[in-house]
Amino acid sequence: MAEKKWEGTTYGNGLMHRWLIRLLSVIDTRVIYVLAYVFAVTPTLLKPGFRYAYHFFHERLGHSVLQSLWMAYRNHCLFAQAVIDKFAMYAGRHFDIDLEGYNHFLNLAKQPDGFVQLSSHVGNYEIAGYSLVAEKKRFNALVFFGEKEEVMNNRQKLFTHANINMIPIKPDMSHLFEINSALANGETVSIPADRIWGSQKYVAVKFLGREAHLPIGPFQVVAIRGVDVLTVNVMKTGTRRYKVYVTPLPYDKTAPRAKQIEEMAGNYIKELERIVSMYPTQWYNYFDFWNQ
Amino acid sequence: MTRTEIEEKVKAFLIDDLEIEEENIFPEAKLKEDMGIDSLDYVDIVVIVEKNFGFKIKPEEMTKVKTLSQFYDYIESKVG
Repeated sequence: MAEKKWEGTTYGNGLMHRWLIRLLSVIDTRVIYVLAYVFAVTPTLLKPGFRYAYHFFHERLGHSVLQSLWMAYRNHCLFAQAVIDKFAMYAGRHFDIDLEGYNHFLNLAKQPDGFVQLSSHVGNYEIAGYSLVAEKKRFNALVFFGEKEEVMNNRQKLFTHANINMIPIKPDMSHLFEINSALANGETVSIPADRIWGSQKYVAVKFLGREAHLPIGPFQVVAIRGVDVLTVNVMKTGTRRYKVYVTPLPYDKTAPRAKQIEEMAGNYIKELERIVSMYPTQWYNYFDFWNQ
Repeated sequence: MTRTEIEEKVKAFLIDDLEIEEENIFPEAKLKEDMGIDSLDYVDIVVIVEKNFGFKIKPEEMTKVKTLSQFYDYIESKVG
């Protein structure tokens, strides 16, 4: 079950982040990758996250013990790259972005109604997921309120001129009202759909052959307002290259609420399975996703 | 709109849209503890209230509403 409460905070403190950004503005990211493999990834091999990654490759994807160990290590290296790439972006570095399904986004962006973009903890959504902005339609990104200040400040710098607004998740749940207002105003809202945020209610789905639970929140928000919904996944395809997959999630808006949610969740997980099958080492949910 | 009309409309959407058991709907019922209304349900309530009563709920005003009776009072203050 995806019961891991979404805490979404980046490792390190403000000073480390500032120095990393300074380094990345002058040093090739590949140098930082290698340093990260030695000093950041190696210590994590003994942590629970590595065990969950190993189980993911061994039990869910059926790889041998040795293959699973290697893929879990590779997975952690890619996660380190994803974090570094995020800071490289803050430092002004650019990445080549390929797009698949961009027309789906453009079609919805043209319409006056709001819509929702669902993301997952795979790949590196922040690199390009927030780039799918429309000129006239404000883009609202749901972010973790406790995220490190430096990350939030850099996001703010990048987002301000790109018509992007951050909605931090807060204990008083005011973010839910902000999401509702944004959609009512015809804006876009980006929400991760594989972590708990605000409600313990869930919808059961079959993911990679076993039952998993997704938080009901993102789907319920879509159903409440009857808006269209897309999934957006941003996957690393090269040292400085990413590919964005934009896929519509159809659902019957006239069906009873529970059926709508079930249909959306089913289509979401089907798309996530497709992405994970193409990029298995870019799955970054380091907890017991299936509540085994 | 009378108090009775407000109560009937609220009861109807609590049962039909939020799927709350009728036995849990009584004036002294606490929204969270007795009726199981959580943060997401509040979003539903905002939309439903707008449709049924024609005004937008301000989130900060709802923080003081703990029971169903207080919720009726709140709506009555807006539409009465």
